[in-house]
Formats: sequence, structure tokens, C-alpha cells
Amino acid sequence: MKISARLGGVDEARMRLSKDLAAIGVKSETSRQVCLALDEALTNAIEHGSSRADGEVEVAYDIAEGFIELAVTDQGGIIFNPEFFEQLALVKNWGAGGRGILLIRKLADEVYFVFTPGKSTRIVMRKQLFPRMPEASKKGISE
Amino acid sequence: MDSMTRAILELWRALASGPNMGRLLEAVVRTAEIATGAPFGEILLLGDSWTRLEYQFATPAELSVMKSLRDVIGKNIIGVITRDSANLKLEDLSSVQLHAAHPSLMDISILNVLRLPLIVDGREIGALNLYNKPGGFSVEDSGFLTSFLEQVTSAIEHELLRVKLAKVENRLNGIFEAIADGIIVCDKSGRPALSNRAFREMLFPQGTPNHALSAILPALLAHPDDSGIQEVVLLKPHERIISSSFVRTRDKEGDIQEIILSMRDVTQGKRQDQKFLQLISILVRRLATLAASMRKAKKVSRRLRLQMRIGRIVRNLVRLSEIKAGPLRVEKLPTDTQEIMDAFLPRAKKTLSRHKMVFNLEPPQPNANDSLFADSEAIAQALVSVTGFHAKRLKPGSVMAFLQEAGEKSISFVMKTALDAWKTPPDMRFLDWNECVDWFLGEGNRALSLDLAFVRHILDAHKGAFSCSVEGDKVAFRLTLPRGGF
Repeated sequence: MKISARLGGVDEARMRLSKDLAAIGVKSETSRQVCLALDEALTNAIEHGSSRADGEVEVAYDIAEGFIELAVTDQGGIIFNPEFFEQLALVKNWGAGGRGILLIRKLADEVYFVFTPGKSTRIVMRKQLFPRMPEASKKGISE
Repeated sequence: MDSMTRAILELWRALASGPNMGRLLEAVVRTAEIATGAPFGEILLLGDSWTRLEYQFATPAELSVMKSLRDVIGKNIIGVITRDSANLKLEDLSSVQLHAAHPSLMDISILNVLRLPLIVDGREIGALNLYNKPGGFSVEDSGFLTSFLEQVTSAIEHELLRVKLAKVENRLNGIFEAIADGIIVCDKSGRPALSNRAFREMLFPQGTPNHALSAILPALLAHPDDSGIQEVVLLKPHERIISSSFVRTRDKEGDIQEIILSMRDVTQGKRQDQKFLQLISILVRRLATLAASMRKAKKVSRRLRLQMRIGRIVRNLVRLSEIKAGPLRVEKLPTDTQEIMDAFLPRAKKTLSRHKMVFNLEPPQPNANDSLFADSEAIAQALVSVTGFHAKRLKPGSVMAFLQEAGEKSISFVMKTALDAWKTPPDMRFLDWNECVDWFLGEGNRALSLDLAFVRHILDAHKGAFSCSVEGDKVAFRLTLPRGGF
């Protein structure tokens, strides 16, 4: 799914994910955590990843074998060290924000950032939804 | 079935059996022996350099016969032959003269020799030697074996090549595994084909399964160019930062064949930079806040306090920059301990008296006024910094003893205090700037002091040492300078 790089798009993506998670019986607490992680990743991508007003952010997720893999890709390709912001959030006492990456780390089981300089920044998060998947698998939003 | 037919059949089997150099050579020699009626023979193969025989063949019985022969040949004709490993060094095969007429061979019952070169594409790769045919070798023997060898030499060459390639492959595998950068080769769909040890350790520490690779590869597969770079942060669970580059290989038709991804773990370097940036960011923010307060402050005393805090931050920033810049540039000149003491003492006494502390200068030892090669001002400043550290952390009325220790190879300035005189026992971590910064960043609103870390930096620049230790009920700070170095 591609959404415009505006914060309005976050709601749309979150609602769609939330609906899909509910449909396969994911507990509301787990669903809330996954949606919050998506929220944070999308907000970061929109606010910091896209330099153009008409930019797009790509959201994809895949649910299989009791896990969800979420990927958010923006067209910024600006290299940064997420650990920097994560740790800065712990000590800084100015401004709002800066805690998104910290939250994502807490909410997801695996977190990866892939930077293709000048082209894209991709964050991939993986989280266990069930101890075992009740149904075989479900494909999420695709391109 | 006669022996010749059996030999030829064995030869075919050897050729068809796949890679087995020993069996192939044995079959060739057997066939040649049977065809000519020679009782024994051998094949010698040469290395590329024409200097060493890589293989030789004979049955155990023949080997025992030829062992003595080879020793003699080695001594008299073609160089050194080792008895057990049977490596034969040749200057040039064409110079080998194995004729019955040779006096050294006459002595050891070699009656006659037929030597035929093994030639591939005009290049001699070795020789077939047959010995002691009753009645001697004929022109027909030579003609038959020449045709025979033409047929089998290519097979030998192929086998040699295979052995050589196996060696090269083995070596390349070793190199591939030993490379410190992680390398993975994937097919055009991103399916891993080959990876080295460093890659496995980077992505699968302790062999733990995870999905890092599947997170990395889609961006590579979608990349429009055939080469490029990627920065990857494996935030959780790896906590690693990877700098990577990739190359796609294509076939003649331009279709993608493979993707080769090379990765370097840059975690430590990035974390250092990150720590540095983080610290700068916080200190500069604090400076901005203090500067704003300064503008509003009306009372002189408040302005002075703010000024002091600004001064501390600026001093920390300067020290941090100098520490990060690498080895400190000090101006080392011939000096002595007295010159250092003269620069240090008035400042130390002033600082300590301001903090209501007692400075107890212990009498210098007889050889304490020693020559040094040092930046006396920098050393005096280091001593002042350590004294200042004491002044801030010792209870009022405490006594600081100052003495010099003259060793054979070094001179130390020592500050000793009672352990119970400290408000909180000194933390050794203050001597290391990294530890200071970690401590500062560990929790908000801590005060940063790089004074002691900078003292260490000064001593390091003099190839000296700076230490803090608890010696019984005393705490000792020791600044040590090497003697000499002029």
C-alpha cells in the first residue's frame, strides 16, 4: 500500500492493519502494540524521510506462521543511526518526540533499518502474534 | 583374456572412473609395460616451474627397486631426490639423460631405459620411463608408445588440471572464509548460495535464527543499479551497524546471474561517533540555555555562577575536541621537576586553601629534582587539575600529601589522601573519557568533568601514566613521567 507522505495517511494504514489483525483473531493488546509500532514508523517516515511534499511512503505487511512482518519504506534514503535518537530520547530534556524508535524497539521482536543512500529508507519490524497460527497464513496489503 | 586386453580394459575403466590420478597413472604404466614387455616403469609428472616432480608412480615392489636407483640418479645426474617423499628436483627435463651407457647406471643393473615425454599442446608435462626390457627396446616399442601416449596424455592433463583446480578451490575457500568482511552470494531471486564465516557471525550471532537477511535483500533486488552501497542497522536483536556494498553479475545476454553482498561491521566506530555527537548536542543545548539565562540575570553573583558553568562546559568541549582529535601535541623541552613544582605549587596552595584544605608537601627525596623532557606547563596544569578534583570532592579540613617518587626509569608525582576524607570515594572511571561520557549520558542532569581524562591525555602524550588507586586507607593519584627521552 502506498500512502501520501502526510500524517493523514497514517490513520488509513493503521485502521486497515487493525481490521486485518482482528479478522484473524489477534488479541487486542497485541494488535494495539503492532499498530502503535506502525504508527511510529510511518510518522517517522513521513516527517523525516520525505523531503518532498508529494512524496509517498510504502507500507507492506505479511502475516505468516503466527508472525507479522511490517515494512515501511520512504524515499528519503537519509542515513542516520537509530540508536543515536533512541539514546538521545533517554537523556534529552528539550522538544517533543524522538521516542518513536525507542517504542518500536520495545514493541517489536526484530527491528531492522536498511538505508539505500539517496533512494530509500526501509524499516522492517517483526512480531509474534500468536504462539501458533490458528490458520495457515494470511497475506497482507500488497503493492 | 590376455594381459594386454586386461590392461587396456583397466585403462578404459580408469579413464571412465572419474577423478583418480593414481589409478589412471597405474593403468597407463601397466599398459605400457605389457605392450613392450618391460618389467617395470614409471610416470614422472612435472610442476609448472619445471623444478619439481609432483607425482610419480610405481607399485610397492617397483618402488623398492627404484629407491636405490633414484638416489643414484639424484647424486649423479639430475639433482636431489628424497628417499621417502620421492620428490625429484629437475633443472630441466630435457637435460635428463637416462641411458644404459651412463657409468652410474651401469653399476646398478639398469640394462636399458625407454623414456617418452608426455606432451600436451606442445608442452611437456612429464615422462614415461620403462626399464630393463630383455633384449632392449625396439623402434616399434617407441612408435607404439608414442601413439599410445598421445591418446592418454590429455586425460592425464585433465586430471592434473582437476587436481590443481581442487587445490585452488580449497585455497580460495580458505581465503573466503578468512575474510573479515561478511560476504554472501545470492542468486537473482535472493536465494543465498554461499556465505562466509564473518557473514554468519554478523547476521546469526551464536547461530540464532532471525529474519535480518530477508529484511536486507528486497532493497537490493529492487535496486536499479548493478552496484551500490547500503547501510543497515540491525537494531534488534543484533544491535549491530553494518556498512555494505553489493555487486550484481550478469551473463552475456545481460540477465542477472548473482548478487554479491559484502558487509562490514561498523558498530564500534558508529557508536563512538554517536556518543560524541550526542554529548555535543547536549552540551551545546545547555550552553544555549545558560547564555539565555545570562542575558536575563541581573545579580552579579548569579551572572558569575552562570559564567562559571558556561566556562566549565566550554572547557569540557575544548577537552573533548582535543581528546577526539588524537594524540595531544605537547611541546616537550628539557626541564626538571623543580620547574614543574614552581609552576604548580602556588596554584595548588591557593586552590586548596580556598576549599579549607591542608596541603602537606612531603620533603623531596635526594634525587627528586630530576631532569625531564616534558611540557612543564602542561604537566603543571595536569597537577592543578588533579588538585582541583580533590578540592571539590574532599571534606573541608582534609589533608592532601604531595610527594615525588623517583624510580629508575620514571618519576612520579603522587597525591595521597585518606580514603574517609572523600565525600564519595573517587571513581576510577573518571580517568577515561569514554567512561565519563557514558556516565554522563547514562542518566540526565549529571555534571560532566573531563578534567582527569584530559590529565591522562597529557600524560599519554608524554608516554607516561596516570592512575588512581586505593592503598590501604589512602587514596593515591599518581602522575608518572618517564626519565630521559631527550
